[in-house]
Amino acid sequence: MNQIQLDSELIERVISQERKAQFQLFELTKRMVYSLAFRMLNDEELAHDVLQNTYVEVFQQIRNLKHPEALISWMKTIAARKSIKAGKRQFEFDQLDQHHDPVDNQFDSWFDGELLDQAIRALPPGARAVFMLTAVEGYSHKEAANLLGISDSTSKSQLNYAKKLLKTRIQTLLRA
Amino acid sequence: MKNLPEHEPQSNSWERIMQKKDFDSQLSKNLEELPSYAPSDLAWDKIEEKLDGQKRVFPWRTFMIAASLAALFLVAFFLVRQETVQFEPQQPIAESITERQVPETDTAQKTKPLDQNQILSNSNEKESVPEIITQLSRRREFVPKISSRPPILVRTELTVKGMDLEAKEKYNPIAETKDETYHSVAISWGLDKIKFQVKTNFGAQDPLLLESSNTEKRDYQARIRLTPKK
Repeated sequence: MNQIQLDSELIERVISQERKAQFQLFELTKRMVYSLAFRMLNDEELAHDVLQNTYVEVFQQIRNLKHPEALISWMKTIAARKSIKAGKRQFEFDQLDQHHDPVDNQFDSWFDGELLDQAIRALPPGARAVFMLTAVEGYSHKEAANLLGISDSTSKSQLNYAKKLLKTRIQTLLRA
Repeated sequence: MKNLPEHEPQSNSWERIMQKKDFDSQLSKNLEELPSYAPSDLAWDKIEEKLDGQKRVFPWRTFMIAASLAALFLVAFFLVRQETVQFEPQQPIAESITERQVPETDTAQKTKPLDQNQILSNSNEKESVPEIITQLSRRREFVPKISSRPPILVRTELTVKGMDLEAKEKYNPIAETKDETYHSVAISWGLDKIKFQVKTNFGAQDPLLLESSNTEKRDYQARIRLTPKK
């Protein structure tokens, strides 16, 4: 994903609650926020709710932001929190002992971003949330665990589980 | 083109390609190239609605809070003021009573010996004066209504004496209580002799258990444990 560069003047105008600047910020960042929410929840309606709530909170709380240069990561954190809150019912972290190892570790295929995206969205909700936060958004296991209300070790095991599942799902998608 | 020389790739080229085919390396590369999704065109309108709606609602909330607080203060102020207004007129009455002089005709009676009836009547007159002051100055005393219902006795444990279940093969409780309780009762009995271990806060033994242990040491007894309902 491309890094979004924001003008400091635009941020100042957003802080002063200028509606045009708010719309400009929305246009620049809406794909980033919506993609995060949609991938975490795999539900368009919920993702739209998260998007709206995220921007409302961003515009209301931006004056309290100590480091305006960290606006993008702050927005991502808000979106991640809102997504977790919206999908809390579906996020279940099963005991991984119950699951069998899906395939052997051999992987002999080429895949692209589109295929990976399909495989991510097909993951179980809990493993998908951990994978999104740690692998895609770059949060540490500790941060992801705090956000999801789980232990660090659960976060690590869920990430490994998600990777194993991704391998099988990508291979299945390639065969289809 | 035909005359251009050919170059040999490095010997480890194939291995390097295969390394890139590794799942983890493909994953880290493709994570950067994940497709992005766009929200619906109505998304901004809904955000604007929410922002404007919250702006409109917010002053009303603060206004309502401020108005209710002001009303509370006003009510409290008037209540306090009413109490002071009722109390102030009492002062002159009290003063007039204390400064009241005994009439001269009564002085003649002072010299005479007083019989018991007179003493009683005088004492009644004297006592009646402060009663007026107290009734006016004081507010009505609060007398709590005592419920006619008898208080409920809460017992944690009850031991029924003389229950020799082996001999009688019947449950015939001697001790009965008519006290109303809010407890669920679990009764258990057996042939094992109960070990009496009485624990109280002050080191004193439970009189019921102590008596039964002294008199009927060899009897088999049942214990009824009363636990409060949840």
